[in-house]
Order: sequence, then structure tokens, then C-alpha cells
Amino acid sequence: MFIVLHAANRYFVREADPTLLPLSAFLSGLGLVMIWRLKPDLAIAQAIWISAGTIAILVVFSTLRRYQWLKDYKYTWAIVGIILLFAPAFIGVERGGAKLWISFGPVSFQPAEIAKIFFVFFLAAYLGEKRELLSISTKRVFGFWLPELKHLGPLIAMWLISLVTLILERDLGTSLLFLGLFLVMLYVATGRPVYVSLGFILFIAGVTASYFAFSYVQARVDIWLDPWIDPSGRGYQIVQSIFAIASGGLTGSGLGLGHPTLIPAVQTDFIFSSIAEELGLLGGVAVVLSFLLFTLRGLKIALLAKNDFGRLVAVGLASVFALQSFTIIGGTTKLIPLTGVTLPYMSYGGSSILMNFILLALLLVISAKEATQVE
Amino acid sequence: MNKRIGRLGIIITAAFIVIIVNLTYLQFIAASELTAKPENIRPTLNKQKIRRGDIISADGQVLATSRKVGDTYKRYYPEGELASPITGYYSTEYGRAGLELTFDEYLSGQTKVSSPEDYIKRLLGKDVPGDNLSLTVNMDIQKTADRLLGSRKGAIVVLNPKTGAVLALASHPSYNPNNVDQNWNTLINDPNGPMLNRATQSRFTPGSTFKMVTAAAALENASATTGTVFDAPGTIKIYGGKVTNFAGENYSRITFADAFAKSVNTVFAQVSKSLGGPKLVDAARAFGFGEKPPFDLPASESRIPQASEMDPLEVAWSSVGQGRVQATPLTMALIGAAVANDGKIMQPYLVKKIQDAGGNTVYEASPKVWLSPMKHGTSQIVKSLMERVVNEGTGKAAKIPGVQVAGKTGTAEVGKDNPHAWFVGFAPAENPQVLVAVIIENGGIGGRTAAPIAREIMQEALKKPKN
Repeated sequence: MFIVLHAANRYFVREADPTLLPLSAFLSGLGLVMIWRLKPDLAIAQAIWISAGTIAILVVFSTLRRYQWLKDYKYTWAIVGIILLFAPAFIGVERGGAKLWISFGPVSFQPAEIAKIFFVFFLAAYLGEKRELLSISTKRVFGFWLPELKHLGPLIAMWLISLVTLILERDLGTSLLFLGLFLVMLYVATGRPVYVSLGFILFIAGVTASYFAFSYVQARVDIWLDPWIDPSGRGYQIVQSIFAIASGGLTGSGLGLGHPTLIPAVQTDFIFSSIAEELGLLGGVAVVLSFLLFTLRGLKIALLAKNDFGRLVAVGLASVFALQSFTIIGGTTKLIPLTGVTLPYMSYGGSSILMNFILLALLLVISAKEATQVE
Repeated sequence: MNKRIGRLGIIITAAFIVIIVNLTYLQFIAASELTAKPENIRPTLNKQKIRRGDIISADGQVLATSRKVGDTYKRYYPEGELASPITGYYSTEYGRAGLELTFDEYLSGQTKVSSPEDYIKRLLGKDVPGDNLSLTVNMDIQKTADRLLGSRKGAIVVLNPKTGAVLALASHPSYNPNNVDQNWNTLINDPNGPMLNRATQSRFTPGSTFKMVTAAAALENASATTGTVFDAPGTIKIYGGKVTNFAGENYSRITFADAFAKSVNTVFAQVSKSLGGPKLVDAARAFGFGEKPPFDLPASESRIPQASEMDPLEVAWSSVGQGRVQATPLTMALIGAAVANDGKIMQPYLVKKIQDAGGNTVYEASPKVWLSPMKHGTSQIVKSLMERVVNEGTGKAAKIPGVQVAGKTGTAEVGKDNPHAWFVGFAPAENPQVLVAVIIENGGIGGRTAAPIAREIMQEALKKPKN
């Protein structure tokens, strides 16, 4: 399948970044093997989703080779993104305490995954256009240069979106991800740490408020601080994850020889724990480094991009990827509070796989475009 | 903008490095602590996947084996209660005991990887069974011991005094190791303590069997010779108290040898007076008191108070194995073995050989001296004293026609209850092949209750080829 992709890659986007495809092939291949080992029934479905992802890549290659037109429809993307993000709150199904899914007969998907890409388009286009404006500070407040209030509009809007996500869908992970994405792109576009600080302060305020307002957020944080207060109840998942990782040692128990299935939802959010258990520190570090390498290649594509839009799209996509990987690996290893997001390429789940293959295709398209322009 | 992308890259790299550091912490530094958490059932699950090795008696009977039930192995003990004082039990819920505990590493095959093939097999998840234990125990002798204890509480240790090889080890009441999981609460709450290995872990007042120690000390320190004549009234006064003979019997004047044969406390009280507390305590320590015997099963140490903690009256009572002197049946067997083996105590052992699943010998026991509590000459004299016990003294019930038996009885006073009945003896006296220590809790007079049991066991053992 990846050979087909490679051929397509050669044909459609010559001169594209050469490392991304093998990395994603490695990660999704390993993910598929783990899912096969964990829940054999789901492996076929996952393989089908990977095939669908391949088709999505081909579609992106053939339709978006000249991706510049995307920026002309930036408000369309914002609206599509918002609709996708909030649709489940109204017509979605609740699973595991969070309302993230929309069902179409047998197929259900998480629209928030796809929404991420649309938000990246919007932000890249918006910030690419307005970055000069936003960079000029006109007012001095408390020793900081602040831009005109109207330019702060999107910042506040984004903050609101992430908080609303938190409230309506009870999804801490996605909420964090959107705000993180926004802050990173804002910083890269304008170079104003003050936005970042401001956004960060607002976010902390929001999180603190929700800690006291929502019992589930409180539970998450309490369990993170000390999972042993309820190791067989609320702390069960993280405790089992930690046990799994601890039993791995340097080389792991070997594929199929550990007990990762003790962890609830191991095939989605906790797939990294099963890798750490069965493939050990070596396997775990290899996976972490693959994610890091993918991200850095994404940023390199951004560096090489010749126009602001392409550059910001690449930064945005790489950041979403990095933030998501960090959030879930950090969560399963108890480095940060656990939030339910998927591990790109590896976790079981159609929307996640699709979204990340599209992300891959976009990065490849951008890298190819810029490389050909250089010639 | 490019500078900022670079900075972003650095921040992301740093964040991922933190993840790797944390992962290393979890998988190395905190790993053993996390594995030991009671909520972690991984160690248990892993154990169920291992085919533990078998435990096999010297006469080829399987005492413990593993049977495959579905995906996991279940431990099975064909001999049930008969061998449980030796095998112990293996429970995934409640842990292990006996050889299952002390030889867990071998039985589970977790000691080391003996060969590269093993390692590859393990990597591939193939079944690598644990090592098999071959014991010194003879099941015919074990059955005899078990039958003779019957429904009484007590323990029997049978060993070869020349090598330390344990031929049988019985403790009653016993328990069925096949049903430990189901009966756990009943077993641990039973006031009779069926899970307790009385032979190696229970301390009893040894009574007159302790006179083997006192006699050896007295002979070595010239406090008495076999011919020394003592006054032997029914009661003598010492340090404001008194020492009495069993049933208060008066022997008028008697030699030390006869006093040993008839177990006369008042004579030993006088001997202990000239011997003194420190020398008595030193002798007991030389025979293994105050120290856990190095054994294949968990064994408790036997106890005697410090000489400085005893007044002369208590020293006198200690010299006849009363007061605060406390001994395990294993210790008393080993004291008898010192007499039988020219003054040397061989280290006791149960496991003769350990073989891996491929039949390669991983370990083989070799007899070695543990303690040398007395001179060769002294042991010969004590042995002659013990022969008199059986020939004309309190231990006549242990006589075997055609075989000279040596032994010492004990009737240990334990307050208002019936005394514990003891007998420690070996045969043939001139070339000891088997040594038996018997205790029947509250069984009455040693010479009447324990000596006949020892006789039957010695007869059974002497029929067997040398071990």
C-alpha cells in the first residue's frame, strides 16, 4: 500500500520531503500490528481505514497540488471547522463521558479530528494576511504594547471556542489542542510573545475555572496528581497504564507476551503503553523519536516554504501533530493529566487515521511545491 | 518568522526529551516499585503462564506437578496432605510456602537463562518449563510417619545423620495444598494451625531430650563422668526453689549413666550447678540454639535464655529442658544426629538434585558439616548413655530385635496440660543409618507415646537401601 503511495508520491509531488512517508508508514504499520495483537477484530477495520487514508492522500495530491486557492476561502474553512467541532454536541453520541462522535449507520467518526485541518487553513490564511497588522502594537498597557482591540477579536474567539468545546463536549484534550494550535500559530506569525502569554493566562484562567466548575475536570487532575487514591476506580486506567509501562523494561516483554489488554481502551488512547510494555524502552523511544522527527520535518517544510500561507499551514499541521502526540504520550505516562486524544497513525480509529493521512499529504504537497519553485 | 519556527522546534524537541526521560524513569527507576504494588496483577498473570517444575521424591513419586488448564497452568499435588509439610503450597492469590517458596526461582525457571536456545524460546513465547526438584524424601517412610501421627498433633523428622539428608518430615494436622485457595480462610483461622510446619517452625519445650546437650557439656567440662555417683532424691532445693523428678520418684544414690538412662532430674540439677549457666548456654549454642538451621525449608531458631538472665534455679531447670528452653523438632533431631555422627552435625537438606527440563543437572547437594558441637570421644560416651536408655531405661519401647537402638526420651511439662511426649533416637548405634525425632503434643510420657513411633519408623527406614 505504501509502495503505491510512494509511486503516487513520485508522480504527483516530486521533490517532496523524503522522510515523512516512511515515518508514517512505520508508525501506522506498527500501530496496525499492535491493534492486531490487542484486538484482532479491529485490525481489519483499521487496515480498511489505512486504505481509505491512502485514497485520501491520492485525492489531496490530485486536487490540492496548487493549494494556494485555499486561502481565498478562509472564512468558509472557519465556519466548516466550527460546524464540525460543535456538531457532535447536538447530534452526537456520547462515549466514555465525552460527546465526540457522529454516527452514520455503522460508521461513526469524530468530526473534531477533521476540524483541526480546517482551523489550520483558516488561521494560516487569516494570520498570513493580518500578521503585519497584528505585529504593530499601538497601545501601551501596563508596560506591554498591545494592538488595537479589534485585532484581538480572533484571539478571544479562539479562546471561547476552546472553552465551549470543554463545556459542550466535555473534551479537555481537544480543547487544549485547539488553544495550543492557535497560540503557536499566533506566535510564529506575529512574533509577539505577549499574545502567547495573554492567551496562556486566559487558558489557565479557563482551566482553573473549569477545574472548580466541572467535576470531571477535577477528577482528571486529582487522579493525575495521585492515582493511588482510587486505583481500582477512577485511577484504574492510568494505574494500569503505568504498570504496563513499568513492566516493559529495556526490551519489553516481546510482542504478544505482555498483558496490555488490562488497560481499558488500550487500542485507542493507550496504544503507546502497550508498545512500551511489549517493546520496552527501546520501542517506546523509537516511537517517540519518530513523532519528533516527523514534527521537525514538518517544521523544516515550513522553513523552506516560500509564501506565508504555505509556511503557516505547515507550522500549524506540524504543531497539531506534535501537540497531539505529546498530549497523549504525556498523558499515558502520567507526565501531564490524562486527556483522551488519539496517537497519530497508531491509535485505532478511522477519523484519526484519515485526518493524519490528509495532514501527511498536505505537508508533502507543500514541500513539493516549494521545492519545485526553487528549481 | 523562520527564527520563531526554529525556536518552536527547540521547544517541541525539549518536550519530547522530557517524555523520554520520564519513560526511562518509569521503566527503570520506578519499575520494581510499581511491579510490587498490590494492585498490579501482572506478576501473577506471568506466573500462571509458566509450567513450574515437578517435585519428585527419592523413590520416584511425584509430589507436585503442573497441569494445563486452558491457557494457564494449575498446580497439582498428587499426595495432598501427606507431602504438604515438604512441598508447601503454591497459590496465585495467597503466595507460596514450603519448597514452593524456597525453591521458587528454580521451579518457575526464573533463575537465569541457562542457554541461548532457552532465551530464544522465551522470546518466542514458547513454553520453557521450570526446573524439577529431586528430593531425599522416601515416601514409604513419610507414609509411616504420617500414619503414626494419625489424628494427634505433632511432628516427626527422619534423617540420615551421616549426610543430613532428610528422609521424612511430617507435621500434623496438615492441609491439602490442592485446595488452599478455596479453604484459605478456614485454614488460617483454624486454632490447630494446619498451615504451620511444626517440624521446622514450631518451638516446643524439649524436656529431657535436652539432657543430650547437658550430658555432653558435663562430660566435656569434667562436671561428671559416666561413673560419678550422685544423691538422687525425689526433690532437691536450689536457690530457694526446687527441682523434682518426674512423678517425684526417689532413686537414692545413682551413677550419672543411670541417671541419664532413667532421666533423673535431681542429678542433672546438681550437674548443672557445677557446670554453671554460661557453659550450659554455650553448649546449647554449639548444638545450634539461637541460630536458624540452614535448611531447604523455612526453619525457626531454637531458644535458650542468656546465662546472665537465669538464676541458678532456672539454670537447673534449663539443664533438663524445662523453663524457657524452646526447641524445634528439627533442632532436636540435629542434636541427636551430632551424637550419631561422631560429634558433627551435617547440614540438613531435602533437595538432592535440581534438573532443568532438558535433564541437565543444575544443582546437586553435597553433604557438609554444619556444626561440630562436641569431641568425637564425648559423642561416643553420650551414644553409650543413649543405648542404655533404650536397653534398660525410659526408652525400652524403642527396642528393635537384632538392632542396637540409641535414644533419649522426653516428657516435657507444659503447665496443667498433658506433657509433650518426645523421643530422639537412631539405629543401628554402631553405624547409624537413620535418626528419628518425634514429638506428640500433649501426648503424655515420651517413653510410652513417642518411643514406639520412633521404633516403627526406624524399622521401616532400615528396610530401605542406603540413601
